[in-house]
Amino acid sequence: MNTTVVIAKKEFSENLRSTRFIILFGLFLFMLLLSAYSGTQNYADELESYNENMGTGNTDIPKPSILTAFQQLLGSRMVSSGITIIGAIIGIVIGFDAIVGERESGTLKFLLTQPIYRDTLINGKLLGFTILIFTVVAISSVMTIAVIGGITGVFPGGDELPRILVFNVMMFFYIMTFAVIGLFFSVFLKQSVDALLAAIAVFIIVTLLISPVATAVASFIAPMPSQSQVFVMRGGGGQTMDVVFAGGDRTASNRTGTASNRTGVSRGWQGMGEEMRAAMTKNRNVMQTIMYLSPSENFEHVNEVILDPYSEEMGGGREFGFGSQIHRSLPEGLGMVWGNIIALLVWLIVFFLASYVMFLRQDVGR
Amino acid sequence: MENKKVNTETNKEVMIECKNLTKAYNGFKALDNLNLDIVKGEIFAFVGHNGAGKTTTMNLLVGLIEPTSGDAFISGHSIIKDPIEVKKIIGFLPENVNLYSGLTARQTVKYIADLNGGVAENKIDETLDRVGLEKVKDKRAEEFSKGMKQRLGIACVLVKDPEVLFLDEPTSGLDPTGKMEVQDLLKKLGDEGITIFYASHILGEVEDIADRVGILYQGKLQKILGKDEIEKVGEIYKEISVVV
Repeated sequence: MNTTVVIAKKEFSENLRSTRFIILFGLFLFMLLLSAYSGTQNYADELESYNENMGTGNTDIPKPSILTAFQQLLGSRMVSSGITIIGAIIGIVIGFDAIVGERESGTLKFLLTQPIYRDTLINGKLLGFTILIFTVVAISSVMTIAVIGGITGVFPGGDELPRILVFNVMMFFYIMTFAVIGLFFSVFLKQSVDALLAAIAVFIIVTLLISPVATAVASFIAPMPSQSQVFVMRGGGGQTMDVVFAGGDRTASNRTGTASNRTGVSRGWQGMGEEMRAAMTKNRNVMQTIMYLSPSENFEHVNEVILDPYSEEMGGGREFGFGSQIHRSLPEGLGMVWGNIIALLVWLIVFFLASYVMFLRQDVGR
Repeated sequence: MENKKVNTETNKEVMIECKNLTKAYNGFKALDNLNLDIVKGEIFAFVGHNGAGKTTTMNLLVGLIEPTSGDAFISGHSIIKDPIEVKKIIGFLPENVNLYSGLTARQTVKYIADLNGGVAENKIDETLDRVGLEKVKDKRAEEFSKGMKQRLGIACVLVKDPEVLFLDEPTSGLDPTGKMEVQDLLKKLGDEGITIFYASHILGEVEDIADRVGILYQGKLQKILGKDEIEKVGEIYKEISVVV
């Protein structure tokens, strides 16, 4: 057997047996299935609303897709969703002691005196992570589809299946990114506890702190007229929608808004003055550029767009952008978020390359 | 490239040959100009206090670090030019190694065997039997005593049938029973004709096992004691430390 595969196999089976992994994976599945259940309620509500509209002769509204239930997996947007947080932690836990753990126990020296090259060891670790995370995502995906399908009686098909596939691929890359961040610190630092803390610190910075930082930087570089800080837009159909423009805190009262209030938001945006729109757009652009640094933000944004074919970006701002009634195809959706996909992959590649180079040059004898 | 050498005095193959082997860290010589021949089947003990350069020597010979100057040959293979060939024929047990606690003894030995190209299933059991762990082969290493863990480490080293065995402080941290178990095992391996290079800072324990003892002090090989002088290793070590 190829030695890279031997290392990957051992990495996979050892992780699979570890208590910390089992607990986290259990928690991840629990949150995912809970969100899926909650998503089925949303789907039922939208279906009821659709049927009511159809009854009153309003046929403009598209029939709700089962994707509505999957959108709930991303949480409420008030805070990062459970899968964003626990997915990242699973990744970190898989990666943080990959090398430093071997160093602490003395097995690194032991392994490196076997007839293998150093890159075989780190490649084997990465392959092990890949198989493990693929397993996590595959099991989670099958169970989510089963729960949603079992409760609603509707299974994804047609355009929905490839969207769910993209969602799972993104989840895979997202967890991998944090596994590789963990790996980086595992190579860089001498103690596993330090590696764990460093990886968690990065996670906190890029998930929780980046938003206020982006807001502050955007306000400094591209300040907005004061009256636009908080405003109220009156939506169509008599609904009121509060959109707090405290950039980056992602407050939107109804992410999976119905078609009627979507139209209202669009009108609100279009009704703004040119100057204010330009200022907001500039501010948004600065903020979004900074937010590209966040794997969590990129992951969530790609999935919002992919799982909601009606979401729309306005003035460069996606937070209050569900204004369209036009169904967007998957390639069109991917075209909107390619920058986020690349930004997520850049994290993965850069951290792996850094780990790789550093490990090959490291003095393991001391 | 293989370049085997025979010792003219003993007419035995030289398994470990160090030629002006030197390792310096920022100008500090952790190992200074080591020249040494160890022949097939010999048990050679390297003694010295902590920081004398024993582990540096060991790390150089097993290919974990590269020498600043000089070279060493294991069964004719250069540690600089053929590190993978060297690693195929050596077994190395680092100090205080704590093998994978989540794996059973059998899984651990199989893992190491697979990294060396794999061995027959019965060979794994035979190796565990050789170190006295056959009965606990399906138990996880986390349940083992320190002595048992050390024997498991030796099993991992032996499963690839090494020509040369490198052991860094193999009895470090063991209780008297564990120490005895490991020492008995080393004697047995020596009787089987395996070349053993072993480092220790405990002068007393080398007397029973070693064929020759090298005294390392401040990175320099000060003296090599033959079988007839080994029992005086303590006294000689004291003299050297006073003189140096």
